[in-house]
Amino acid sequence: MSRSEADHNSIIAVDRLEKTYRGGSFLRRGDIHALRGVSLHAEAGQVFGLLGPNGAGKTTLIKILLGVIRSTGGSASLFGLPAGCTAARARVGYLPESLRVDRHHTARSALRFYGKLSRLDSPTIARRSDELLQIVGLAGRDRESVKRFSKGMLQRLGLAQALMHDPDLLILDEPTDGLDPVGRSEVRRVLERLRDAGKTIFLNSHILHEVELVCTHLAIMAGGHVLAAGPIADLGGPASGRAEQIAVELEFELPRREPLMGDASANEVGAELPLDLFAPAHADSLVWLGDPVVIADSCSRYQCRFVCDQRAELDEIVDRIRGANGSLIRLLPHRHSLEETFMRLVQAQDQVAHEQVTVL
Amino acid sequence: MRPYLAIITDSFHSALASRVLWAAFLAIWILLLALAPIGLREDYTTTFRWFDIYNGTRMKALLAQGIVDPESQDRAIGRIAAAMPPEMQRQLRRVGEGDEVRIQLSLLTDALNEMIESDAAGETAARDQDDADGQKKNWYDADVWSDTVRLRELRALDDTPDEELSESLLRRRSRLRLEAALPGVFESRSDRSVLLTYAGLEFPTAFQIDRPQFETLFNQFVIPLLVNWLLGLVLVFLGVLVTASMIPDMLQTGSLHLLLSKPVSRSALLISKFIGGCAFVLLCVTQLVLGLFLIAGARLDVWNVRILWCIPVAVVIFAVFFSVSVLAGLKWRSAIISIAAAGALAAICMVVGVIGGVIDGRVVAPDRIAAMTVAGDDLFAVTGGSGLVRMDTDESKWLPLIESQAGSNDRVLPPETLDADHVMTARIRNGRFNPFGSGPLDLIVLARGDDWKPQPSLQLPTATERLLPIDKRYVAAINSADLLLTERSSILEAAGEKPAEAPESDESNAADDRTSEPNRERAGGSVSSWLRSLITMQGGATESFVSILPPDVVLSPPTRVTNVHGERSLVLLTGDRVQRLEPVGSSRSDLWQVRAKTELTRATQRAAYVIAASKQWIVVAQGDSPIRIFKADTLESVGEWESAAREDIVSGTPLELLAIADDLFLMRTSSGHCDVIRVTGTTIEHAGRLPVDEVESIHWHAKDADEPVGQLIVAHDVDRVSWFSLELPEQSSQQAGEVVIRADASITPTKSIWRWVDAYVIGSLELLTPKVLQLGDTTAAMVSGSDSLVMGMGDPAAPEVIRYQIAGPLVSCGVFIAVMLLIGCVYFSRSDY
Repeated sequence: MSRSEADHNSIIAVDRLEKTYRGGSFLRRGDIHALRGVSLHAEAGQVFGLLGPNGAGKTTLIKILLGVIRSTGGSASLFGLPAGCTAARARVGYLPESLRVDRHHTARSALRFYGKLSRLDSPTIARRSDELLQIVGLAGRDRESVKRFSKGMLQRLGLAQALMHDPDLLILDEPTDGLDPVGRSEVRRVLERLRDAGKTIFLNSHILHEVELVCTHLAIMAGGHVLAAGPIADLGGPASGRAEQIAVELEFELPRREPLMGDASANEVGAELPLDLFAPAHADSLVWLGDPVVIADSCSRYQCRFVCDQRAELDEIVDRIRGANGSLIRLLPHRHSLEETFMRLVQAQDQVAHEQVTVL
Repeated sequence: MRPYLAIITDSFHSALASRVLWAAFLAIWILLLALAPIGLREDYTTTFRWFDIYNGTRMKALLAQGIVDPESQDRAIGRIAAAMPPEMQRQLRRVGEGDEVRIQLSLLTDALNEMIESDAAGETAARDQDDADGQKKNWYDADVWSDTVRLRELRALDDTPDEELSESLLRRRSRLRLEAALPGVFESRSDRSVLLTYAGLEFPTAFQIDRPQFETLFNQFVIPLLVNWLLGLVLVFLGVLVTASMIPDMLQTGSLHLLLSKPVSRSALLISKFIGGCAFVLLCVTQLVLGLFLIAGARLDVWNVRILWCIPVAVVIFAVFFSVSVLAGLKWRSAIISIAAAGALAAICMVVGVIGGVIDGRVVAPDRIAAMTVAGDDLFAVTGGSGLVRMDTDESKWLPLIESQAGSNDRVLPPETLDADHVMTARIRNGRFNPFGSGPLDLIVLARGDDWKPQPSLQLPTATERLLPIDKRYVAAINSADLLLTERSSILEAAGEKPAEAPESDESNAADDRTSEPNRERAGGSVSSWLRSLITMQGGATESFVSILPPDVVLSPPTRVTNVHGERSLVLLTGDRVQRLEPVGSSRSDLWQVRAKTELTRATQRAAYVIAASKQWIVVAQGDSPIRIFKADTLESVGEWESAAREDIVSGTPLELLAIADDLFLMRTSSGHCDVIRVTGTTIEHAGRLPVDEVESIHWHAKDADEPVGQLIVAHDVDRVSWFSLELPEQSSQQAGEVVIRADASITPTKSIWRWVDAYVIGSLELLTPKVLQLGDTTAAMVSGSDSLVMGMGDPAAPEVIRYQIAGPLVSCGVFIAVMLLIGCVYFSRSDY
């Protein structure tokens, strides 16, 4: 894809974006760095999920994209226009996290109001209202006061208003938050229809399963950083994993090893882990699932997970266990889930943050 | 515009959803329903009210004379006094015997009203009663009343047979008979009065006014009161309550982020919300004002479309408080703090307004220059605080000769010049609201030789309202009932001063005059000492002042008298009649005679007359009516200056007219300006305007009575004085252009500490706070259609002028709203949410 094509298709472009909330303290001790150089890119037709724990900076990023707040560094653009400018906002449909519609509205009057804010004329508003109320399942209740609406109905109304002006980009902030399973399913179906219709959707959620089901691309954020971004398949989604890689979950028993003389950590369980047996595995992929269990005086049971690039490497690891007088209890092919990737990245980020605090 | 219109409409709908609003609507409708049965009934003015009596002391003295003077008992006052209740007669007898007796005016009017009833009833029913009773009831006798000066209306009623008169007209006739018998006592009133009714029932009140007074009262007091309190306080407060949550609600996360994500400008969003709030108040106010307008029109017959001006004014008042509420809502996102901020602003405005009002009343008003005169090079003035001051030009300050006092009830007559070294005035204790005042009334003379210390001189006639130098020899004193004359030399001698130059006496000298029996005709010939004191009490002649009023002329307050510029004659305007008086002989004791007279068409409004006379023309102005022009010698009406044409050039009510040449006059108006006008014969044209606003008073210092040369002294901006020279066009060129006005000098007197505080501290506070309270003035001006209100018809020297601030409060409030919104917009645009 050429650069110009990329630019043409680019919907969201964020480059080293920073946002610091002033704490109000004179020495700036209370400043909060919500975004610390975030960069990401979303193109037309993508359903881009933004995943992260609370406080990761997801909502801040969305607010900057919508022009609700201003960044303190870096740049953000929508459709090649500066994020937040009127022309860019005119092409965006937004569903806030906890939509609040004034109590004097009905579903239809609220749609009329938001339609007018998007500069639509009355006939268009009427036509679109009929269509959207049908889509979101509020067709029969459009004359009711929103005072009587459940949270799910309000959320569906919010979705309808976001779609009112047929936007090029839909930004949804926790669209299924607070909905019951049926509501979630309904919202998800609407999103899937929109995805299939080629809409670009930017979805902010902390519900991994939802992201996994709907999104094509993903960015994982924590502590104001983007920890990973790319197609969901690359990040442990349903289609992730290269064909030649082998992920395995292994349970085996080994005779107990004698601690080395003079080793300070001799009494620690971790010191007994047979790390040398897994040398052929993919670097850093070894994860011990729990501590070794002592079966008898001379035998311990281990459980772990690892990845090999080739089958021969797996064979060698099996051979090494056998060679050490061990026996295989269970060998299961294992697949990385998005949750694991997410947890791994977030925990690593937490650790880094903790270390930074300790150093400071 | 579509998004912003949607926001305005949405704000409006949001407010409409408020229960407080519906409670307000309910209150408005209940109020309108409660007011709807109010009505008006117009009837002849038949009964006397205490405020109809202009000079109660004269009335007391006249009635006392009717009882104790045997010759008066067969005259009209005797008949009236005899018909009084016995207790009243006893008190009047004591008055006649020289006792100091206080009689309540209401008791006197009650007695007169009973006589009206008995006269009206007596015509039909009491004829058959016995003589003694009949004598009491039938106090009227046509023969006796033939000696009195009867007004045209009474003559017409007397000529009409009783059978053709309604009961109301019979009462009216009785009242007019009483007025004719007691001349100079009652204020001139309209022949018809209005009475308020409620659901067809008359209000149980003695408040009876004529229709023009009612309309003035309604337009200038009731409507502004409604705007200030009902609209300004209640509705605006309700409006603030309802709209206070508008901005905090908008700032709630779920709705704000969605609004801000739409392609709308934040500033325009805020302003649209603001307009939406105002639009909702507009709806409330419109209902109320439109309802009031319809009730006033349908029930009171006051179809004043200008009442509808109250709507925008009330919305401006609301907008001032709402702008603060919006700003507080943006900052703190709390409806309660928004309401508190609006309340705080109201409190600040109130406090600043009250402090400003108090300072103005206690500090500024007493310093205002009310009238001036010049003796030699010295300038004298009467102040609003009833003080007398002299200008010290070297030190640029006014030196007090009689101390000014805030809220003084005394009245100091406008000073007049006796000669280059002497000035005269008089101080009437408690005379501000009562022409009679209390205590002895002596003329005060200030002499250069005595360092201008006030020295008592002649005793003035009771209830003297004005001193008027007539020529080089005589000075007239004008009171509520008489015109009296004395000589300048007598005044000076009585003060222990030597007359600078005694004018030649033609026949009798001053000593002869003083020893001669004064006012023989009016005292009825046989006067004992107590009777003379009664006459003095009535405002008649004193030892030194001789009545010159022709017997066929009755003064009916308010009276205006002016001397003809450069001639020994007077023009008198009383009771809608203009009369030119001239002396018959050269002796002071001779009565003057009416040389010419004319009737003025009765104006619908009862504003005070203003009159000035030159050798050629007499100009009469009254309120907003056309200014009328008469020939000075024949009083033939020759033209007028149309109100509409005048107000395009010279706005406001004329307050003072001065003749400075045969065809040139100065006119000071309630708008605070002073203009030179030229009488062309059939009309008047504008000939120039003095380059000062806020004119307090003017004085024309003629260098030569026969030549139109002189200096104009203008007091303006409280106590500043400026001297102007007028370059008058040549007399020969009839269509001369503008008069050239040249400023010669100006003095700004040194301010006292309190005046300094007023100018800088209070002035700054007033500048910083929106002039919400003064918007009531704006409403009054808009509703009444005039930029000022003149009160105090009876006192020509010091009519109280309320100059409405129209543009000032609107600009102040507009700027305040704009600044608040600007701060709000900048804050809203730059904030992260």
